Amino acid sequence: MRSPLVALIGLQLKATFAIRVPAGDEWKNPRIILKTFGWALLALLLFADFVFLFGSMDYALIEALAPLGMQSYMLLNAIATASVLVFVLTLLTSLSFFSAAPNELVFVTMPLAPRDLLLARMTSIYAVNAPFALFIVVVALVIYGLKMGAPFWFYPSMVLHAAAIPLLPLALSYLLLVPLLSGSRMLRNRNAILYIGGIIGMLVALGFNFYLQRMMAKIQDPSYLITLMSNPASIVQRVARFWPPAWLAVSSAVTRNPGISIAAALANLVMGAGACIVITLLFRKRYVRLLCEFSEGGGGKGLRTDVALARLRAKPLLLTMLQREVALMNREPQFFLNGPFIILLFPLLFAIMYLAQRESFGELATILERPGASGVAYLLAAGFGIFLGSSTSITCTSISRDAKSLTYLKSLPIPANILVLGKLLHGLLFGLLGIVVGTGGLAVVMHLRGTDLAAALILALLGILASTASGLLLDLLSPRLKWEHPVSALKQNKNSVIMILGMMGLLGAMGYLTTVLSLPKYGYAMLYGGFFAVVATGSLLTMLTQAARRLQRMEP
Amino acid sequence: MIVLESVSKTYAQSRVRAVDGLSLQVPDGCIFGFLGPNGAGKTTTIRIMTGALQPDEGTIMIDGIRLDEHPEEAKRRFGLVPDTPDLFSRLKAWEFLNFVADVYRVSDDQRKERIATLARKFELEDKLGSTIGSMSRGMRQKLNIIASLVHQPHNWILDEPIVGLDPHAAFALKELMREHAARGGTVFFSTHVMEVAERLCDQLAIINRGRLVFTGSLENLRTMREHGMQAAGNEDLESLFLALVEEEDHAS
Repeated sequence: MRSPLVALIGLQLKATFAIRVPAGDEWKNPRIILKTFGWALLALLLFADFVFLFGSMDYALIEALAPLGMQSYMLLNAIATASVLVFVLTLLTSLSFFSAAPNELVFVTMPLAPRDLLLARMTSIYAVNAPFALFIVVVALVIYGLKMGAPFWFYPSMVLHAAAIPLLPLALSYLLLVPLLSGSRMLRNRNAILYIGGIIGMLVALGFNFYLQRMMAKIQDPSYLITLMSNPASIVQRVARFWPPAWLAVSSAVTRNPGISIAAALANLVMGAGACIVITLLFRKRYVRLLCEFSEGGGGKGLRTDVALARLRAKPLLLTMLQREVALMNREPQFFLNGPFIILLFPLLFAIMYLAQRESFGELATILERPGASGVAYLLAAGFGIFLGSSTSITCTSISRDAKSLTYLKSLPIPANILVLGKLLHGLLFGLLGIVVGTGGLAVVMHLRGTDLAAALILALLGILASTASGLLLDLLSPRLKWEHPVSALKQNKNSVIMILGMMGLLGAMGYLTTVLSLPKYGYAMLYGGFFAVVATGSLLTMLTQAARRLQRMEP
Repeated sequence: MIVLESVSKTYAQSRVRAVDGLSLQVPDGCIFGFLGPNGAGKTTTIRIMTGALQPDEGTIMIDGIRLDEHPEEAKRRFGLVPDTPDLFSRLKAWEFLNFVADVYRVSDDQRKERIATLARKFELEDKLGSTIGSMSRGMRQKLNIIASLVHQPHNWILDEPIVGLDPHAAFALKELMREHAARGGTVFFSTHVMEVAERLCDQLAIINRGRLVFTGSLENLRTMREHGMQAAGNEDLESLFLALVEEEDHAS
């Protein structure tokens, strides 16, 4: 019989890593086999992508530092990166788990010690973040070990350090969050947590992206690297000196004494685990109180009855459906942050890339100014608007997002075409926003005027119509109707992956065609616009003729 | 009037035959109770009746209109209280009611008057401005009941409507069901609560494993049992129901 703590940890880990592997007869189903291998391949490619990213950076860094005899600074950089990244990720994960507090209330009703509840939660957060630290450190370790011929004890020692890196951030996260959330009623709200966590998460991702872009842009510049690594005021040096886990890890890496190295690694583990235990003992009761307070709800009275009644006004059905789509998407933080918010996020991401890699953008600008290509800058503006407007996944997940209410919606006398047109209009509305931000923004930057601007806007509109209509058709033909968490309907929906990657591929192909085809200036717009018009018309016609039949057959 | 003729449904994914050749006639001016054990096919039948699921075979007529041929016209003839009250949790109560009123094309004055009256009846006036997600299960159930009546449907279909309601709201609902039937409307509702069915229903239908095992009045059921193997006497509905379902299970 397992102890309650071990049972709870097992359950939390299973709930956190709900990876389902086909069993028994399922292996005889070709569709399941294909799907499983598809996911495995995707995971492998993602892993390989990150190995390449960090590996190439570490390799370039150790090569650049070799003439100065500063190769160990590559390890220092990896440890500092892992420490900073894992600290932020741990803080965000700890915060986001509070949004699921109402689901954990059932554990509060069980005869489980508050200490066990907090320890089990901390263990699952550690399990989420430790792989990041291990990954970053192990990639650097392998490169360093191979290049420098490190002794065998060096490897287990550094792996122990990597395992210890997330522990202190975990303890500090709860040291910060428990008093903060206890003291603020406004923060003890699922929506507030999701918005704050989501926005901080995206800012961190942008910051990390900036760091990587900057590093890759300057990797061939030894003087920059020396400043970055050895300057006492640099972030790498500060982390190495003032953050105890990093300091211990660096001490372990540079010593030639195996005893000291292993002892430093164990000290790192003991320090981190000890801090977690101290936090557990200090905050166990307040943590359980927080779980209860998060579940209190208390939506308040909202509008006064007379005001609410006064707002009851008839509207055309199509407008009613559009209003419902907009309200349901924008009020669910998971949908909003991964949908419409993208239109604001991506320009920010590109601005960071531009700031980090100005030199490369300079080359791009030169290419655009090449004779014969200079006239097609309007295509870039149109393409960026299409990219932004089609990256929100609004229409290609709109039927999937309605899975929980589809049974009820189908019992209402809503014509199927009105239902899908409401969804299409919702997608187009944010597509237009994408055009305003993307095409409009780039048009201002590139000083597009007159017919160039008109061509960019018309092309972007046709592109958005095509992507919105084809996305909706895709979700109508193959929706994801079984899901537990709203994010599964949007982010973990194959349709959004197909549409986002598909549009990126299409825009890339059009970019390539522009470089190889020799057409008059607006010939490209005619060609691509014609293609988009055909796709949009075909999708719309198919959608409108198939909507009733498809919706009728759906069994959520 | 609601008429189901030889309706069958097998779920595509699980291959479970949830409804098997079901025929029913729910007359006007009648409270019709739809009973059956868990998984008997009650909710599936209601979903088929309301157009949420497509039957493999059979037809559904709502006030003489075929649901498969004129779905919107047929759907305007009924109001539904679904089995799950967890709909549109991000909308405010008044927004949801306004949405439903728009769908059924209820005029401004009528929707204001009806919603205010029903909200008063179910003590939900103070919650019209609240988000549905912040409401208790019972409140959400009351909201669904109000939404189902905004367009004053002729046929009222309710799937387990008593679940989650407080005694006051349960009483108000039963009163409304009686008034609806007295005005000549049809009330079709599924329930597990035998006492409610016994006291409220003019007619009953009992379904088990997707097949109709009885339809008629409580008196008919007692008479049928008397002519059967065991004397029913004055047995209550619960005992009759359990005996009937048990017999059916043995027979199958």
